[in-house]
Amino acid sequence: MEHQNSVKEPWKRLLWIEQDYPDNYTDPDFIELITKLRYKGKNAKPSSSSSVKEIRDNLFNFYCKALNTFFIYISFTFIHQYKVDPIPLTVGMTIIALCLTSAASDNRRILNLKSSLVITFAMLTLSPVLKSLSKTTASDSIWTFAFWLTVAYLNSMSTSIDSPPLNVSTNLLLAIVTVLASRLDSTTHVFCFLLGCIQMNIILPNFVRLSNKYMSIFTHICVYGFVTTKLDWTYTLLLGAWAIFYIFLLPQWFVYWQTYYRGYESTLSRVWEAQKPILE
Amino acid sequence: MTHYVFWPQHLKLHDKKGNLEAVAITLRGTDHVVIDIVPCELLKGTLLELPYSSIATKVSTEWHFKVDVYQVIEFRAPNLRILQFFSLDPISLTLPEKEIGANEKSSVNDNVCKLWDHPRYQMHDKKLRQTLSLLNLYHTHETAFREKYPKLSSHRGTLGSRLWGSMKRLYRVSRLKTLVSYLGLYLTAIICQLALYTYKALNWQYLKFVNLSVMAQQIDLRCQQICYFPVQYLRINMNMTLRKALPRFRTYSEASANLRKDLPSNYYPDYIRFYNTVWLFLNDMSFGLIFAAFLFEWCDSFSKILHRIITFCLYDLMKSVTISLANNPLGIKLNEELARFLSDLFLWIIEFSNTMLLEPMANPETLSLLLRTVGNLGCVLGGTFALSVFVDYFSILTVHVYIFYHISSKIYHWQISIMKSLFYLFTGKKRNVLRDRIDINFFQLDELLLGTIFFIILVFLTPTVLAFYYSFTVFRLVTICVQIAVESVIALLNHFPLFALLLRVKDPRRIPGGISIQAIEGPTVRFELKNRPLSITNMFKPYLALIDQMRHTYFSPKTIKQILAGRPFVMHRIKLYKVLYSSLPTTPVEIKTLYSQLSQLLTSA
Amino acid sequence: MGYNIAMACDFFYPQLGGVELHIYHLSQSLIRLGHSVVIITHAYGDRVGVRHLTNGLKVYHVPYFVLHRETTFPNVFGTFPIVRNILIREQIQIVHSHGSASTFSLESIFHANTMGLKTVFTDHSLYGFANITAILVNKLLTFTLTNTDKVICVSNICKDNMIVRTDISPDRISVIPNAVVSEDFQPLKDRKPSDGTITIVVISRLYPNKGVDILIRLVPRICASHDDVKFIIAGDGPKYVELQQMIEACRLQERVQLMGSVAHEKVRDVMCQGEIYLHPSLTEAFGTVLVEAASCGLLIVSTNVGGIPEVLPESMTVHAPETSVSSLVEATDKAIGLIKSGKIETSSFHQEVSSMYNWMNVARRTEKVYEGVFEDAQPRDKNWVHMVKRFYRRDGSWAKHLYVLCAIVEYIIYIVLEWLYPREEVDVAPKWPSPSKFI
Repeated sequence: MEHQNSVKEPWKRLLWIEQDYPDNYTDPDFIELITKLRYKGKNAKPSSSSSVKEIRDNLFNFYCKALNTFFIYISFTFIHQYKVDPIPLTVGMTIIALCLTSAASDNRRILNLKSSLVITFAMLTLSPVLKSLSKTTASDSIWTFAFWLTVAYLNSMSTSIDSPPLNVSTNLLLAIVTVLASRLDSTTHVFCFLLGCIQMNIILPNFVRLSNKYMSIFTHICVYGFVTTKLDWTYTLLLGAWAIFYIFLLPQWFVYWQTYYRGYESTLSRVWEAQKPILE
Repeated sequence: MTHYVFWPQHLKLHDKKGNLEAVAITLRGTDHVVIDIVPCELLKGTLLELPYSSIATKVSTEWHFKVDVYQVIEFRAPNLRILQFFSLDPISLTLPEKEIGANEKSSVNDNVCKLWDHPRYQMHDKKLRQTLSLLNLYHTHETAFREKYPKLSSHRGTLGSRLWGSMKRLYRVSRLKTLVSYLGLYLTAIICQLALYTYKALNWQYLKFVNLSVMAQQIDLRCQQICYFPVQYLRINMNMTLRKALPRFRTYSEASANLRKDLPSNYYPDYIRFYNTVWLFLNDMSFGLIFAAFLFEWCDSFSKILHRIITFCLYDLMKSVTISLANNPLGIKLNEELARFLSDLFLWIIEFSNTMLLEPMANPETLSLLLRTVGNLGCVLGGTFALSVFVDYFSILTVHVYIFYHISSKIYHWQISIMKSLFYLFTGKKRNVLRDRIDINFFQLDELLLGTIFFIILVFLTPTVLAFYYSFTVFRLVTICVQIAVESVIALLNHFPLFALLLRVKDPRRIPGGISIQAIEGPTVRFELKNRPLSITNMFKPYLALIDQMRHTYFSPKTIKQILAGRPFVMHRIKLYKVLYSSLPTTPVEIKTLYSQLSQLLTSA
Repeated sequence: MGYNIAMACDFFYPQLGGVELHIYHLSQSLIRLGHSVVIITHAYGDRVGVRHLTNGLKVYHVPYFVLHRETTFPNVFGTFPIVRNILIREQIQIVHSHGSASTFSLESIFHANTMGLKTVFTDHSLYGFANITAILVNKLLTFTLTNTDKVICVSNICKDNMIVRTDISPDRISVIPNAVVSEDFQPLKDRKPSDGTITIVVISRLYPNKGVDILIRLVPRICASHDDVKFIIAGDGPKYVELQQMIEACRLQERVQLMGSVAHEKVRDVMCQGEIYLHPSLTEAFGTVLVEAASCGLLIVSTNVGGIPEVLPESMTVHAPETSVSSLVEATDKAIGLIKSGKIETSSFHQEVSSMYNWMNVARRTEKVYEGVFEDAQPRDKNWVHMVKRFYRRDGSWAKHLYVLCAIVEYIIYIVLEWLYPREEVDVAPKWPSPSKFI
């Protein structure tokens, strides 16, 4: 017996050769691998720091996008409640947007002059229609509706950094603007409001990374300042606490959960999961 | 192989004592059919030629058959003169080319079809068919046998029948017959030609009145029936003469070939259809009379009530619904501008139709005049005409409902299709009309933005359009339901299989729907061939098909889908009632093609 | 004397796919070895009731509600009365189920365990852990395989996957590969002398996980760098339009032929038109189609995922190390070079493949598994209390209570069924005479 075993060829991980091993023979390497992983799974640390960073980046990016949507409400409040004339601001923003577009290189340039003129005029024509679409609805319903639309809008946004806004979220954004537009006083206001919102939420994220340092500081100052002045500092505190939980605690917790509860499955799963096609 | 011997029941009855011999006729591809029973002594001198042969002899009480394996099947000889016969398939009350359920055939399992095509099955089937047609001509063959071998028979005609025959002969040679026939011929030709012209006028290719008005359709139906009468008459009588001739065959093969020609099932349905139409004509007239009497009696009060109902339903109700749609119906906040525009548009149409249509046409005087006219028409032309005038009147009165429905469905349909294509835009796809598929496409930001704005506008306008569209669809559906109800009554009056039903009650053997072979209780195994009358469901098949089609057109998931997609659904009257025209050819037969045949048949003979 | 075996699966004729053909060929070979086999599947259209196939292979088409892509509606207990009746009627000893996505097969195993019969399960596919469907299927499979005697996987990678997914002891799992009927996949006898063009064949359902996105980008690049290469792409699916668009955009109508779906018996004819078989799949448990293509004498170009590296020897294949377009392009280039230079002799492939894979071998190895089931059997294996205990020892705290609940309900149903339709009243079906007696 001893002699035979020494002659026996080592087991190969192949199906097309007949091997002198029973069919239920198990790859010893694999057994070793999973016992190691199982052992490690019970007292593992977060697998690698890069993944935490990646998750946190994604979450922070999403957080910035969410803050950015506050601009809809900020501008709405200014136009609707404080009766601020929106024209100078809109003109200013349009000039900035135009500058940004013409400075951007060709492949990132998403709007040329002709199409931007077409859109602007289309919006100018359609503003009265937009204004009247939900006019008969009571204000309370409008606020509720706008709130739920905003929730849907936030849900529809993608978390990754570089992806352009999805069509669904563009739709929802315009729905919010349309709903709110019915409460504005004049057609000019509606047009300015619409243009501003599109520039802030659709065109701007294409040129400026919202999560970059200056942009995010600017957004924070605007949003927190607005909340504090308009509502109360308790709300600011609440918002801040939520933001800290979201950006710092949630990724940690997620990684903890991944390592402790999904254990070695997540480590191994790349072998069996359908591979990601690399399309260059 | 078993030999089947078909034995007529009346021969058993005078089963005399003594030595007897059964003579059977056997043609190519048929079983044995016993023609007569003759005493042995009589048969001794004569030599029986084919197709006749002696099949069995009776010594004392027992019959001894000359074939080894045999099976006796008894039958009652059908009397062709009173149109009794056997048939394997149910006789068709519709024209063969218009047989409904031509698509039903495809639902039969392929394996069953294969089985049918199998040679063995085919052979059995063919033999049975041949034998049945021999049985159907039993009496003719019996007479032929007696004429050939006169001394074998003991049968004589009665005195009454001979007297009747000689009277008929007398009439035939007299001048009276020619005069009557020519008169009839010319009259028929003139009427048929007139009916044909009317038919052509109603089915004018640029403006089919038949599609527009029920009245026109009713006239069209009558014209077609009139045009078809001579054809039916010709068919029935041509066959009658053919059948009367005795099968004087000289050779065996000639006799076998003869068998295929004269099958009663070829012309018999024509007979039923002809008389059914005549009966329905008369029936309709009587209905018309009753209806007219009723109308004349209650004319004044009726017209008042009708006036009130029409004004309320078609003017007041429509107006109030349209106004309420403009003012947040059921608390639903619609788009004010669009709602007001649409409701103004519809109100304008309502007012217009009120002054132009409802007021002049629905005041009590006009109504009472109309009722009287309808009554008179019913007296003259029948109840169906009276009803069809009502339907036409109703559809003229509700023309504004139709317009509303049409406008709102067009708007709705546009909106839906635009939203659909914009939806493709958002999912990054676009319809490729050239290749009829949905392509994947990359859209520029400006295209997307513009599409989104339009989409949002349309989404916000949808409830308003929906509200208008659905309320007017409901109105339209109600009017269609009313029309359908009356039209089904008309269809029932026009196509009720009255004659066939009565025939079934009177003599089930005259309306065969297949055969059955049943065992008879007794010491030996004997079978009896029986006729199964046509089932009632089979008689009402066209009518059931009509109901089925109506349900399919108006009350099916398809309809709901159609309404949801905003496609207009219109009544294709001709398409709907095509099934009921199943006893008429597609285009009426012109009289001139028949003239020579008809004149020959009427004047000669 | 042979065993009475019931194969249970949702997927069977008239649908034709890997699992279906596996069941059919395995059953035929087992019948030839002297066993009696019946197949239990759901009704397909008007194919309801009992059908007989070659050699008296009896198929029960049970009428049942089909949910999605020929998978029946899962409800754990619904199939019990009819499955119990069939198992008693056919005097089944072993229930052998196939495919983890098939509710019918999983439920049959559960019922057979309850009835105290031996059970074997064969898995044909790989599952990940990342999406909700995979998690559900894994939980269901964990539940079902708790008391299953033996498990068969079609490749080593499939076995590894099974160990991690369901956490069952590795020696209960055997690896028995698929096979092909090599007579059905013969290369052309009288091949036309080549005019220098090389045809690359792709036969695949056009789904994203089959790597169609890679294919769409690969075809123009290969066509640009080689003037004498043509493509034949057979199969249908959601990505069909994108392929069409690629052909139109790159004006490759002359060089790329899209065939749509091809009947299984025509696959060989399509394969024989080419010299290279390209397989860009992103996941694969075994890859029967590769063996079929090699049997037809084609050089295989493939990604290196799942069980693919285990299936064929290096001499027949050119593997792309990554699932990227450029890697696959490189591999294709290499294969085209090999064919052109005549460095590779593909005519011997057929003979080699037919010696590697045949169904009789698979059936013998499966038979050995069945024998193992009876040899290793403990008397308490199918004891209800013991089985409930095992269920309780499985999986997470929520899942195990659910498992136990299901098991207890099942046992109650079993008792009720025994009372309502007693075992003795079920007619026993006569067995088809074994063909081995006549040989």
